[in-house]
Amino acid sequence: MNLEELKEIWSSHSSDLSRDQYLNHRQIQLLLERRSQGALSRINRNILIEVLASAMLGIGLVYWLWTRKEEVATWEIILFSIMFMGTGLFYYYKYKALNRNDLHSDNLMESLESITRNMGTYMRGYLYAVIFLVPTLAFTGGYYGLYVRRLSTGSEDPILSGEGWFLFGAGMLLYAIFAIFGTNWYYRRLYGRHYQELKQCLAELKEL
Amino acid sequence: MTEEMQKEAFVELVEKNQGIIHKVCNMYCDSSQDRNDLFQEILLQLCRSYAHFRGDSRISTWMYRVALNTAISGLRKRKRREVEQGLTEREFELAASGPDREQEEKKKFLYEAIKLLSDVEKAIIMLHLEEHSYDEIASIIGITSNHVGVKINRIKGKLKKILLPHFT
Repeated sequence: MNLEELKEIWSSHSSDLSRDQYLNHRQIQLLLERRSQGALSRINRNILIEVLASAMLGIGLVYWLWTRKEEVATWEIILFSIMFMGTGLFYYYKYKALNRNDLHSDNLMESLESITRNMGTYMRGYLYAVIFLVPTLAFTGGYYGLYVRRLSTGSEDPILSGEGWFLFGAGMLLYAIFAIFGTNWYYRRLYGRHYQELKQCLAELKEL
Repeated sequence: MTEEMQKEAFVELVEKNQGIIHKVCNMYCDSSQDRNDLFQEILLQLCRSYAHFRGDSRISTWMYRVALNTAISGLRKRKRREVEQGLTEREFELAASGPDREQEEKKKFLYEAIKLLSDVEKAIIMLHLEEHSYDEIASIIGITSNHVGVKINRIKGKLKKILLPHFT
């Protein structure tokens, strides 16, 4: 077996396969018009749906608080607005991190370096958001619910007793632990294998 | 050039050079569904890139660059569907009916041997078998020409080990 023989076999076989799979002008046009089935396009669509859902929820909640201006303090409206704006920024960051890769002009090595870096940033960003943002939102939401209940009953008692604070804190801690481990598991399952494969490819390219 | 004309020119270009995309898809996918998904993904990436293609490199170099980037580093879920036997079945049919059975067997073994290589090795040997120079391979893969030479020698060694019993 020599290289010329290999090249000849390769060329003949590739031509056979390409002939079988040939697409005409119209079929190519139709493929271009079809929605991408790639994972990135699906993730982008999901991000858009999540943004729309959060925006609707945020606008609805802020509007509802606004209509109850006599009962609700301005700081609460501002706080909720900031929280929802923060969520919007988080989604924007998530989108940018995922779509930063340039598969067109970069060579394979640059492309792998860029995608592993961006995926790492995206995964870390998501994990930090779960660690900090989710417990903060859950705590604020829970506390705010108790606060509103006290307002509606006109009670003068503190929002939570010592035991109540303990249970509330323990619940939040459990939730945070569950969220962190759950996210780690989810990410490993969803991206972990792919991320490791890309890192392996990169290591193989760099190895002399 | 209007957008419509540009799109038309792009479709014509792909129609003429679609063999490159098929080769990459066949190399990196096992099922026809995966192949179709990857073909479309590469097509979309090429379409996005076409407006910026200034002809600094050969059309085939540009197409291989985008296709291999999409196949290897694109965020693509490799579905664990049934591994299709269509390719080898077809080859067996050809081998059984055609006069040059030996040639068909060789094709099958070569293809299977290349499929056993890593993603990076597949890309390098495919470009080499497609008569791309070391410099072109280096510019597509992102390593030096010397490094390409070293890699190709190693891959040839690997292929020789796998193929030798079938090619003597």
